[in-house]
Amino acid sequence: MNKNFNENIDEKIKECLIDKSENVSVPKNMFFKIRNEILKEKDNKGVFTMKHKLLKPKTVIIAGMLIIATSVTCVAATNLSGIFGSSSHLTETKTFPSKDKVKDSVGFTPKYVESFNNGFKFDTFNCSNNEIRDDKEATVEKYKGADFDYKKEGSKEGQLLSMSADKVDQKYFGENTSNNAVSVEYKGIKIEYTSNQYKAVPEGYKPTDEEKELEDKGLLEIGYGSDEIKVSQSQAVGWYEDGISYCILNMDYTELSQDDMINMAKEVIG
Amino acid sequence: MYEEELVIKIQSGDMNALGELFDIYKNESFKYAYLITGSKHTSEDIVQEAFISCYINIKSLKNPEFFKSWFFKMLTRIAWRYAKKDKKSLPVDNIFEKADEKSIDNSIEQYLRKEENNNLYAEIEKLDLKQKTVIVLYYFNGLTVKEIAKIMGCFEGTVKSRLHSARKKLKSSLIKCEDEYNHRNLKRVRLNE
Repeated sequence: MNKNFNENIDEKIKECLIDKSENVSVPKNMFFKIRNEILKEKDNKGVFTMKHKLLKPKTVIIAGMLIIATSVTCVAATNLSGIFGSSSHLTETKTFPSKDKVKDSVGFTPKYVESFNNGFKFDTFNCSNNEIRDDKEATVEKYKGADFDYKKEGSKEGQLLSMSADKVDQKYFGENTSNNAVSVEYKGIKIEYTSNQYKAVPEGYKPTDEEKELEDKGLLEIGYGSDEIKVSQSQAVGWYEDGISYCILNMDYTELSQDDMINMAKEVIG
Repeated sequence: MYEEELVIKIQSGDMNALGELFDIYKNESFKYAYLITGSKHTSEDIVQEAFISCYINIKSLKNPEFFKSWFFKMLTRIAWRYAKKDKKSLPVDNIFEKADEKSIDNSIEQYLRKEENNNLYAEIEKLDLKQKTVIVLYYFNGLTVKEIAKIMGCFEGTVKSRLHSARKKLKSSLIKCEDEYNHRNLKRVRLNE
């Protein structure tokens, strides 16, 4: 061994690292792989991105609603990564839709109401395309959804009350994953209520340890796909009936109580 | 200037510009990832993920001038994640890499030199992840303390302190190594007498 090994430590370290790094060289097809991955990513989110552009303010909310819906009713100890939903501004309608119109749009007829007893009235209807993806981002289920938005007098920007009805296999609805969920039985149907904080974040956002802990406790939901970070208070009720998953989501109507939310679910069930 | 233009083009979705930027940084980033993780395969995954992430998130880079530190910050985070995941097992490719290296060297001088570097690298590998990162960014990538602090998201003082303690550790282990070498040689000489 070189006797001067402990001298010029800086030079030694530098030489050692350069020498070590010479063992490797960048694979020739690497950029090809990168480009393919990006294109694949773009394909997966194509419709979503389009919706982003056309429906910017609502995108986050819709995406959030779908993600929240999963925690209300489904995706228990499975390896699913989440539900990805998209809809187009072009199919949105302000006219209360007939049953035929809904069936034409989504292929099934869910239960829905024009107004709720607590003053919320129908505002818009739209259909959505949804995918459930596994932990490898592979699509395991595709289904259509009917989305009804409601408003009441004095509604402020950013507040949302929306009901989604999705025709999706019951196998994706297992035990409740949210620790703070409350279940109520009504006419033989289990209604599940959850409340938490919802944080809309951009793609690629990495949750902090504290946020992960809150997620585990069911106190925080993170929805990806927003242009900016926005925090809202949310409540949701969900149930599964006749092959259809229902979810009523309330964002930032803080005056609504747990009972108010459950009563709205009961009104839809009839 | 050219690099900044590429960044602006990528921000508007130009994939060819990403290709050009990839050519500029591929070697530096790949070798950097390799020195952090010690695995070729893992380094491929890291660099791949970093460039994909770069393309997706580049709009958040307000000043294209700071592309390198922005990119290396992302690359470092990804490399740390992989390094922590791989910590428990020595990757298979790594075992072969080590075997290959020894068989390549022919001359004694080359062998000794390689041996020295291997010993030193073995000591670098023993450093904790953040010390190792500082050492690689400083000595291999040739970045300043200020740049490293920006990449690692810490104070310059923290970088200096990590650099100092890592260098101290490496130096003391090398001295120890040399002492053992001298002791072995002395024994051999006495036996020959």
